[in-house]
Amino acid sequence: MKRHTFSMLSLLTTALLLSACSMNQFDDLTFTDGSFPYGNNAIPADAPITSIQALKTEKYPQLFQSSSLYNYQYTTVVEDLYISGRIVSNDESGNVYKTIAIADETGAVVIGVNATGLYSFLPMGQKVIVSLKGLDFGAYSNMPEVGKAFMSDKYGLQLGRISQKDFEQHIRLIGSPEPSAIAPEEMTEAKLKSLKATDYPRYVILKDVTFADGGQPYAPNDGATEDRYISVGSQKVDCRMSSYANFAQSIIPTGRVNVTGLLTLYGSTKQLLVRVADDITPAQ
Amino acid sequence: MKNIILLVFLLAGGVLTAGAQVVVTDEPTGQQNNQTASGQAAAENDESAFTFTESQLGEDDDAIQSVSALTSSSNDIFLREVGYLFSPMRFKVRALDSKYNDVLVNGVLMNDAETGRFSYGMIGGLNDATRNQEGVGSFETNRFAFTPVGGASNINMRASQYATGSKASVSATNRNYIARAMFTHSTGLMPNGWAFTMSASYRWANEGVIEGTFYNAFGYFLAAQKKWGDRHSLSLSTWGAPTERAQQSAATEEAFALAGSHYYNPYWGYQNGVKRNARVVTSFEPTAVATWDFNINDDSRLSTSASFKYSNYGTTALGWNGNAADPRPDYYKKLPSSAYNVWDATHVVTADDYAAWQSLYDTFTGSPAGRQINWDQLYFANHQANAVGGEALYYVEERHNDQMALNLTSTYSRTLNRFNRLVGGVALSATQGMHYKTMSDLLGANTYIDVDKFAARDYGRGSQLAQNDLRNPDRRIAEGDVFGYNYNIYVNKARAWGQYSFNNGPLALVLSGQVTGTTLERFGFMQNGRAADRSYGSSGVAKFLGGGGKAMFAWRPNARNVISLNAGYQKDAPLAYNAFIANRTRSDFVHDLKLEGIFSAEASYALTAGPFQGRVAGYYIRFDNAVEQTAFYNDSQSHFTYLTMNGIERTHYGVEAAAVMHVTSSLYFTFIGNVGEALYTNNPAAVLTYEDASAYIASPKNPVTGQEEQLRVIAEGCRVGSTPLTALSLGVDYNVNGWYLGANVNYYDRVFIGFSPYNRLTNIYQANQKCYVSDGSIDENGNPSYGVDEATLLENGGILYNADGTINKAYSVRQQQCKGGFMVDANIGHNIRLKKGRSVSINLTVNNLLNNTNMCTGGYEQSRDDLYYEDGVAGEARTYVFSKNPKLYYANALNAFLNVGFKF
Repeated sequence: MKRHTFSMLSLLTTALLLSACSMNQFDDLTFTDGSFPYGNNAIPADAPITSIQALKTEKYPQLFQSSSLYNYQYTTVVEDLYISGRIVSNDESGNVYKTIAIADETGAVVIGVNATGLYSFLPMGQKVIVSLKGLDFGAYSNMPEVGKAFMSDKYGLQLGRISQKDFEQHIRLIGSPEPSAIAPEEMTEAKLKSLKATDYPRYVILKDVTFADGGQPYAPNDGATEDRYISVGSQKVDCRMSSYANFAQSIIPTGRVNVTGLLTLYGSTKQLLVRVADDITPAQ
Repeated sequence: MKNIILLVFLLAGGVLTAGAQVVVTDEPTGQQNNQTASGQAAAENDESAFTFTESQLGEDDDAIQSVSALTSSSNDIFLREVGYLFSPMRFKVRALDSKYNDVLVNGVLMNDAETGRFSYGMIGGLNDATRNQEGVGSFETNRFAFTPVGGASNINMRASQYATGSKASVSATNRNYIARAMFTHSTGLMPNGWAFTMSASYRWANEGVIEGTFYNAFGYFLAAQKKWGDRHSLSLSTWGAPTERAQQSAATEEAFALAGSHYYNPYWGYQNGVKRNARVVTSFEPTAVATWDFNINDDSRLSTSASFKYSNYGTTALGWNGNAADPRPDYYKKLPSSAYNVWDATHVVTADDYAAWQSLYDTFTGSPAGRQINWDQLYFANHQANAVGGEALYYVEERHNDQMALNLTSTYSRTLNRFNRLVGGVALSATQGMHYKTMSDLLGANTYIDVDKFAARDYGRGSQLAQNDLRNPDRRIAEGDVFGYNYNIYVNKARAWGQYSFNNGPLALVLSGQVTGTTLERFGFMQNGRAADRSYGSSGVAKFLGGGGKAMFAWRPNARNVISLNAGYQKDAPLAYNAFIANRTRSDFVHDLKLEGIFSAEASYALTAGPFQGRVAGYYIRFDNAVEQTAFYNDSQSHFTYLTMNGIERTHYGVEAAAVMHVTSSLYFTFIGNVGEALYTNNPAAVLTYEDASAYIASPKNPVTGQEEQLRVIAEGCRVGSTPLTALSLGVDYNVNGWYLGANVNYYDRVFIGFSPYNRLTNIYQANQKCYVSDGSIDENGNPSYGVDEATLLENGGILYNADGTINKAYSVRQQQCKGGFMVDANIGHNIRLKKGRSVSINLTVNNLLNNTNMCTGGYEQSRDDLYYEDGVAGEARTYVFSKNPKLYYANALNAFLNVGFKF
């Protein structure tokens, strides 16, 4: 009997100890440069970098020389070509959709990616290297863009989005994001007037401006995108507001504001893509 | 005489209250669909049909144990065999939910008062401790309860009832766990009047038969009993089974095909090279029962028990925040068939379609990691968010369904004479269910703020509507903190029942009745921004008075034949689980809650003739005013959605047969079979509630008159899913010289996929253009023409309106059905008797010997239709066809259970 009691107690204790240790314990992960679980770490960190402006004006200037109002020329990059810069886009609100934008000291470019929630891996200020070989580069309604051509029902072959899987093969993240390392360029009327197609897109701030539709919601709940205009002197800028944006139902300020965003070109229309609600602040 | 008066009172009460209406007091006037037209935003998030906890589904623990309620000491061959035999296919007796089956311990009802179901996890691994069971069918006489339509079993846990001695066993298997050890010791009733029994077990799997699942479960049972003379006995039994186990998910046929296995489990993924499961159940339901047995005299006995249970039940799940992408590897956008409509034969596949398809195909099939959760990326996203001062993008939450229950039961039985016996009892119970979620793991993130991401998206982060708790706005959540929702459900029940049995040789008559009183109340601890005045505090108390009666009649013309005819009717209070339209966020009761009516009848014939013993029974059960609730993430509307059907009518009927034929004393054949039907027979009213009140779909309007109509679910003709409605088994058993050999061939068919009420809502029909109005013309058969053919209606569903706006006929969407098939089981065992009464037994059971991996046990349709919506108005068709992609479960492949036991 005693022996039984002993074996019983030993079993109880062992079982209790075993089961008391959770089998669902995991330590937090830490990450070191060059081994990030997103992107392609095989892209060399010291790859020869072509500046974004040089890509547009030196490598492929012919793509942007069309006199057409709606230029959709593109080419497939067949050589080893790398650009590098910091992320200036943010798709958290949903107003920026399936797109990232990268800026270096010389300029910026947008990349169409068939994925949402891109900001979770590529937040603002994240430095990246993009290997362009195998991707398509050209004009999308005049604006320089990196993507992957697709057959459009209406317009034939034109630039479209890169699949998520493919995109991850072409981008490498360098270091931790530094939001303070990016600053928007102030756009004045004069500057706006002087911009050529290859100067787009740009990471900009429009200071001390007013919306034409102050008092209205940014975008009514109709599934469409609303044009909300800002005048900078004689220059009209079209703020594209998606009804899917998380601030779409907020009211446009009636007073003077500073507006930050991505200045893009569509045909001949200057558009400003506001990224998050905080991009619009009262002017001092 | 007093007893007879009491019984008559109970029976009369039962019959009278069967017709009683619900009395609801203090219930604030309900507004049900406080839907405001607002942001219908990008449909980027999809949390698959929110699955209820396994215990609520009755899919608890290993299949063998989950249906064992009726396996022992039953007089009915069918019930005795069916639980074990058909468990791999999750067979439900008479297609009844487990809430219609009561499990008692020492006469105390142990079913969860909120869900109505017994949680088998409560006694997990305690096979030896729960072996003394008395199982009875709905119409069998018994000494412990007024049994529900699914029958009942009473587990006797008095310490003196266990075989004296010790028993140890070790098992190896390839099921949910891979190793088990059990030890049980009982002193038996000692001369000093004391008896002690203790039992312990441990079940373990680093990885069970399903990839990415582990199992870690301990079980203990301790019981003491003291007898004073022949008249009094006190016993105390306490047990618990702290368990931690990872879960398996249902998946679509496409995902199974691409993964190359019907056992593909999307719940796990690699974290730093180690498998981690996102869905981990942690449960521990310590329970204690104290019982006083009083043998008043030779003819009467009083047994009184009190029980206390404090159960902890939590399930983890991945959560994501802001606009982060859906992390689930089988999210529909990650499946190749989302690239273009692969079901549309007219669709011209372009090179881009194909490229998109190929890219998804390559990711999913390329490596196991490509179709599992990428934990490293989830941590990395949070690491990035930390760097820019953002909130957690991904996290693991734990949804808790804890409960405290107190029961008091007293049962009196009296044998009046050799023909007449009376049994009766009272039972009181108070239950406090505690429902909340906690932050289980922030996955390396620094902060998380308690706001609702869907409402934040629709109304803006600054809106009051986005707050989960207005009393603690923008609360910062650390690991272990409660967030999201937090409420209690209080259920109080009182019941009195009685049973009179008369047995005089050829004639037996049993009459029984019960009266029940139930109160339900929700108390919210958070003031939810979407229901600011309907969430915090008490919901008011809903009261229900129910009851019922049964009559069982048996005629035994001789020793060989028994014919019995049984019928009963009862009204049961709705379950707390179904009684609130959106229990996580609001305190509103379902409008017009009624008692569920259950009519049940059964006729059976039993024959015993020499070596043959057989029984055949026909049954018919009809439910009315039933309530069912489903809760799921609604991708069409991008909102967590509750759908309550009220006033459901259902009919279950069929034939059960069982026979045993002894060819020799050591060889016998057993047949059992059930062919049944379990149909929804009306189109119940529906309430659709969104957790974020902004979503809405237009109310159905009569296409002729334009008048708003009651929202309904076109359920008529749908069947109860996830159980084989046809199940047949032929077995042979042979024993010789201490060896036992057995084999069974089992055939299953007519397993239906659980139907989605959402896809059958009348407004979803309207959005999908399934309402057809007669133009007044007559077709060649002389019937009104609706411009649609019967085949289309039977496949896709539809409502036919006459030219005056009345409904001619409504068709439900065709419910999908699994293919039937055979499964073979075999077992071999040997008993070796040793000296001093010791013995060793070895048993090997092999289930699914032929390794049939195509036996679908059920599943569920995805609750979303195939259209995009803008502002509640249906738009274009989606490329991914949800209606063609139900999520399925499959019965285990070949599996074995080896058990070595030692008695000493």
